[in-house]
Amino acid sequence: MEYDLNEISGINKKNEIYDVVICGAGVSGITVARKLVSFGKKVLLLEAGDLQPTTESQEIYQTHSIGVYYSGKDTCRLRYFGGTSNHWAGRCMTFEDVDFEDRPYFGIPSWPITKNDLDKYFLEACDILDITPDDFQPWEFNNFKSDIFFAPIHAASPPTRFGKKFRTEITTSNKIDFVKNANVIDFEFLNDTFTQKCVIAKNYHNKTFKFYGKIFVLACGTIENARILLNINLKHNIRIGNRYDMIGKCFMEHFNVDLGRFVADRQSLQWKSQFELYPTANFVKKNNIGSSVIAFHPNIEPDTYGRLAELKRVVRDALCSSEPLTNLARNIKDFDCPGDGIITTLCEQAPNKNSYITICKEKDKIGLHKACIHWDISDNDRRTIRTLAISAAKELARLDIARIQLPSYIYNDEEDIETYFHCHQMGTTRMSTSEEHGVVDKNCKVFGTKNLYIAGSSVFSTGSGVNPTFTIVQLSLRLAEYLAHKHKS
Amino acid sequence: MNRYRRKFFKKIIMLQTIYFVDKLFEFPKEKSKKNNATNQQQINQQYIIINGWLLHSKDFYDIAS
Repeated sequence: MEYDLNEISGINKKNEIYDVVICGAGVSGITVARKLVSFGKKVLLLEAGDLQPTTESQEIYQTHSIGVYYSGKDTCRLRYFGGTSNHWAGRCMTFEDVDFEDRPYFGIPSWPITKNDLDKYFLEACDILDITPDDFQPWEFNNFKSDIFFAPIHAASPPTRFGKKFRTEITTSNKIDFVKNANVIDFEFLNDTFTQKCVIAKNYHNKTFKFYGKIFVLACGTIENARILLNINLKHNIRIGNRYDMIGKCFMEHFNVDLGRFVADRQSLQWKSQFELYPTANFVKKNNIGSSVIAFHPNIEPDTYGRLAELKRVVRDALCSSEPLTNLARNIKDFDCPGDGIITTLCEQAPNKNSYITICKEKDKIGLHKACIHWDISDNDRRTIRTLAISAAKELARLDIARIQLPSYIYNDEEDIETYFHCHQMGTTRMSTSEEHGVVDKNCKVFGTKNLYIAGSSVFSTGSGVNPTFTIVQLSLRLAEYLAHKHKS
Repeated sequence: MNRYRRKFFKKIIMLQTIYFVDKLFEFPKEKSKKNNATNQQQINQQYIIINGWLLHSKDFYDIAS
């Protein structure tokens, strides 16, 4: 059933105690809800936004950047049904074994689970994301043999828009009550504060409602999960999941660093499409670094504009047909022949307590303190970026595949590295074996609570160097299966 | 006399033109062969960076020899 909290309908008069109350109807919230229903559970799914984007909902995501400027603070996230899947690009990759292993140089323990724990959900995640196992293919990369890099496999989802794909299923299911325009603002606890009794949500007319459940799942996104928990802890003067001040800590992104340009070697190969490299586990551990997709974007058909476009194209083709003429053109201006191009990264950010989400004094219109993002780039991150860039350039030169012109901040340690982001927000309620290094345990249960769980990339202990959505879906399926079996009674 | 002077300057201009055209046609790979290693940043014995271009020793083998 579908309800709108703005139009006070029958939902709150039911006073039903749901098996599971899920806060947030994005990728993880919807996945957990659907899986729980398959086990026969009665679920309440709360969505803070509407079915379509609205300004009043999106404004609540406004945050402040107080560290390295994070310009994705207001643009990466979407606050309506389907969440950020509504502008997801669709790239699916799986974490590698090394991503789950402890890397002592990060200074904080890694995941308490292994890749095997997620692999069993591979086929189901493929089905949800509209891909098949056969779609996972390496980038075409002929003649490439290296001990330190390999071509990673990936699949391209259509991409799946969770709101659009699952709306009918969710709103017609008699096992799911879906409530839109419900902003989670507080929890109510049993006396000991370790057991959550109900969640308090507010609509856009400033009215509050209580929703009761046996289990509660927070699936509002990396920044919002931390913000809600920090607000509730502050309001009640408690430290749920935060005895060691770990809520909000280790906020991670994927660095998008411009690694310069490359000139393909004419004798070796002409690339026809983007291709990528990924470091081997041995290389990562030997060099004390993180992982990264290093993406090469060949300029297959360099653009020509204006009335003389055709003439320019003929001139360019003529110049590119002769090596001396190509060199002449390159000395006059940045000149690309087909097969040449630029290099970008999707680079792992090491978990780092100095990169964090906190709450500031200013409040939003539903009465919660706004989030402040202190994004930080550590020495681990600089080492990862520089080592991988130089090593990739060396390998391609050694193999006579291409020559790379690196930006000076790569080989000059004294210069600041220019980093951008990928809108892959992770960490802030990280998974760990102990409360000292995380907020949730290996089953995504918040430390110190009995029935509060977290879903989504906020539980990532490390960020890997691959796109996170596929892993979010795998983790959500795992959480739902655990909840269904654990709380059979 | 003026004729010889004009010829001389013509020659100078021609040589300079050849020199600049030659420079223009050079890609870092070739440049590295002419420069010596003193004004270049060595990454290690096998690799070198010139103007940001990371090159392999085979691109500048004649310096090493």
